[in-house]
Amino acid sequence: MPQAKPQPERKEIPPMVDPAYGSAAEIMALPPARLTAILKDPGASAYAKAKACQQLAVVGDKSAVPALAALLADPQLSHYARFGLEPLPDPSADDALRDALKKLKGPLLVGAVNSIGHRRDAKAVGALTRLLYDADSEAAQASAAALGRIGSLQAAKTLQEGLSRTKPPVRPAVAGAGLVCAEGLLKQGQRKQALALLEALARADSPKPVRDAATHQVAAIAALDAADQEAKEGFRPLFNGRDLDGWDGDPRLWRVADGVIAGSTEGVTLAANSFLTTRRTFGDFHLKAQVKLRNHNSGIQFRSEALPGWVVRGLQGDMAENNHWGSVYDERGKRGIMVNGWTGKAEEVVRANDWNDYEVICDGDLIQLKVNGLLTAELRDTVRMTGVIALQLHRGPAMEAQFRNLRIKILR
Amino acid sequence: MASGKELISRRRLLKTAAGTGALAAAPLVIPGSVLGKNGATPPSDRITVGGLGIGSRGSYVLRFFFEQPDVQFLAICDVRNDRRESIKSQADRKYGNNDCAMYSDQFELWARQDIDAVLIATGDRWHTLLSIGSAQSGKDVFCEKPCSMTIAESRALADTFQRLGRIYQAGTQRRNGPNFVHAVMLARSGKLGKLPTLHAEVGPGNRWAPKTTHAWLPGEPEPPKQVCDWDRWLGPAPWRPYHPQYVQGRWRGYFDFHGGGILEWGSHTVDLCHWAGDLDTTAPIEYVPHGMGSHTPYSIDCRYANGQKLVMRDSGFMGLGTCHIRFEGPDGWVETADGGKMEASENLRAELPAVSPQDAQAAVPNHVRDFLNCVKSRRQPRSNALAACQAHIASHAAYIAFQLGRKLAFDPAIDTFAGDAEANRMRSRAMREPWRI
Repeated sequence: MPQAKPQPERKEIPPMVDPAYGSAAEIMALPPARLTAILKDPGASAYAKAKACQQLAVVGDKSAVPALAALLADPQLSHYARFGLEPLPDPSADDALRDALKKLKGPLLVGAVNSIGHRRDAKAVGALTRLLYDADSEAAQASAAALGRIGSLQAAKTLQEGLSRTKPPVRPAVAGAGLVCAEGLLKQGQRKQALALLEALARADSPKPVRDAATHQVAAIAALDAADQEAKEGFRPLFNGRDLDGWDGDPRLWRVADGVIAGSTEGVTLAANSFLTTRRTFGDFHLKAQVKLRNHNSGIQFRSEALPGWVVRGLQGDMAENNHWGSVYDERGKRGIMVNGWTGKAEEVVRANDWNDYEVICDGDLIQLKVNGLLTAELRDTVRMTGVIALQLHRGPAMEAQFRNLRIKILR
Repeated sequence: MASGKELISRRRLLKTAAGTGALAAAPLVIPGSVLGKNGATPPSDRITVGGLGIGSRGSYVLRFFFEQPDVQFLAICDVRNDRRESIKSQADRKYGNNDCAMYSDQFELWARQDIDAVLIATGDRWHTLLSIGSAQSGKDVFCEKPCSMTIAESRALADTFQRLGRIYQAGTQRRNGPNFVHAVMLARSGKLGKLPTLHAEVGPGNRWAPKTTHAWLPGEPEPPKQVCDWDRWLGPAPWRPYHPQYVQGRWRGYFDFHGGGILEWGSHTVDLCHWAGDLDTTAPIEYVPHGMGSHTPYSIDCRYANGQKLVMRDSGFMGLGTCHIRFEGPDGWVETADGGKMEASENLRAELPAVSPQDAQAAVPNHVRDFLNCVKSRRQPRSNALAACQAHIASHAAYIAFQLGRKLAFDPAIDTFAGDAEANRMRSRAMREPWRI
């Protein structure tokens, strides 16, 4: 295969050997104290020191930190010093990197800032905030990135201020870092602060990729907030988002994918309207769902009687292509359309071929339907006070109905 | 496209050129291909592509981008002058113009708002950094494997693409190779029985023995920056003296440039095992290395939280080709490798498709097409950033266990080894200034 084609065999070139300390493998086999001694040996080669730093990255403890820190200002070995310091768990490594901020300039300063960011050293936020306004725009951009990674409340505040107070090329870096910071805040459960930062990012003069991502995140948080609020009010999922556990329907018609129950009559001829039915019954409740209809007629049954063959009888919150949304219909009964919720009501708010909020409220004899938040039907009925909830596929032309976010609050 | 809005703006631009603007400038002749005549793809549906670091492997993959009627290749960025010239001449010859731009600084290519997607085929040390930078500039990414040098880079890669909603395809084309896909689907169908043991070939035939070396080659004088920018070639990797061998492609096996033989192969084979086991969002919780120190045979025996087993090993496969995978369950087994040959237990043999070497070779063009389709549909392709991230983390963790020569426990939820400080310190590497991800 073309991938991973072996290189043709060529003469092996012998690798470098340090006259004092030997091969790379020999240097890196030395104990930590000897490695630290190499760093302090003014006669040791850059090769020996580089390899010592790389091994101290894995085995060095705080006794190695001063020798590593001393190399931070060495243009050739500064990166190797950070290679050793960056993964070193002892907090003295943070102290060394913070100290270096005062002494370093140019790329070496950028390197130290990057390592501080990698270590997420919250104690550095003050120094990084000052650097955000430094004349060296490379250092300022690095500071922004480090603040983003640190992701503390103070870092978020600094970045949010930076959005209006910095200029390109620093401002785009601040925006990008803000996005990372907001993600960190969310992980810490600081939803309010994350939202404030994201709203600023969605508005501000940020690069388009950042603006788009922030806008998307703001919407995602709003959805989370709404779900939390509903959970507090007592709403529980009626559909688990993964499979049809708790439901019963014709297996030819119903699928679950990406958190959606999708029903389709494509390629199936129905003798009667077919329903996906809850296995338990509900009396007084508030049901919320999102529905999307392609072609023809569907609906949500409630307080209904399950008959053999996935057929039901009872009241239905109706919906159809360009008609019937928000109406109450008596499925398999004699009363037909009991309330017209479409004319002048649902027709004003329904989004065709798109997701719509549908609510059914049964509270004693009071029955209400809402479409996209608008009350479309209200009646009092006591014919059947409890029964299954069921989702409809209509016989006739091939059609598709999708349902998601089904959640229910039991009222009593 | 890079985004719906940018797509619209490009369409609008064309509309102006072909409409009123063109009428005002009467003699302007618009070639049919611009308007999509004669089966050509109109520019508004084209995906504009740039290349970052295109050598031998990159050229092979780029060939399949060139073959796609809806791709327009606009720019090449490389640290080597000869490669910039070579790719530009290929593109210009194909399009009959002189438009392919040449850069040695990726920021110039990233600044091009008219480029939707990039093909990244530099050495491994640059892969994550360039992928993340490309996403931050609003571009979709097809990146050669291995996609990362460390566990930390792997995670940053997945997080960035998730955060920014860009499309990412790792160059692990076997996810679109018919024999591999069939083996994976057999495992996923349950026909092998519950939780089959997954076997991934890593470091076969002693080639790129798993161990990397920290040694430097003796230094030679650096070429002029214009010919080859050594500092840019190194990028985030530690500085060392220049030697032409690295630049000519013999950089594998050096720790600073390469993640080792386990990752080299595991990025394909462990990745396929993850897909087969529906493990694309996790990594093993235990790594037990066997046979370290000698070149071969060796293995790293791994276990997932659900009890499933993964064996990364360098030998003992059926010799069907390179890059074997084998899934062995209570109800049957299947094994396949490059070239398309498949073997299975008696009960499943009748189900095996005949995959010719030509069919097997179609993996790369299929994989490129999968990526381009996803750039349009905004769905993630088969080798998306999260799937690649998790298979790479498993491979990195296995190599860390191999290097330390001891059993390691790992928590894939926080990418952390339990009770092993040294292993945890090997999860990342400081990048050389000024680079960061």
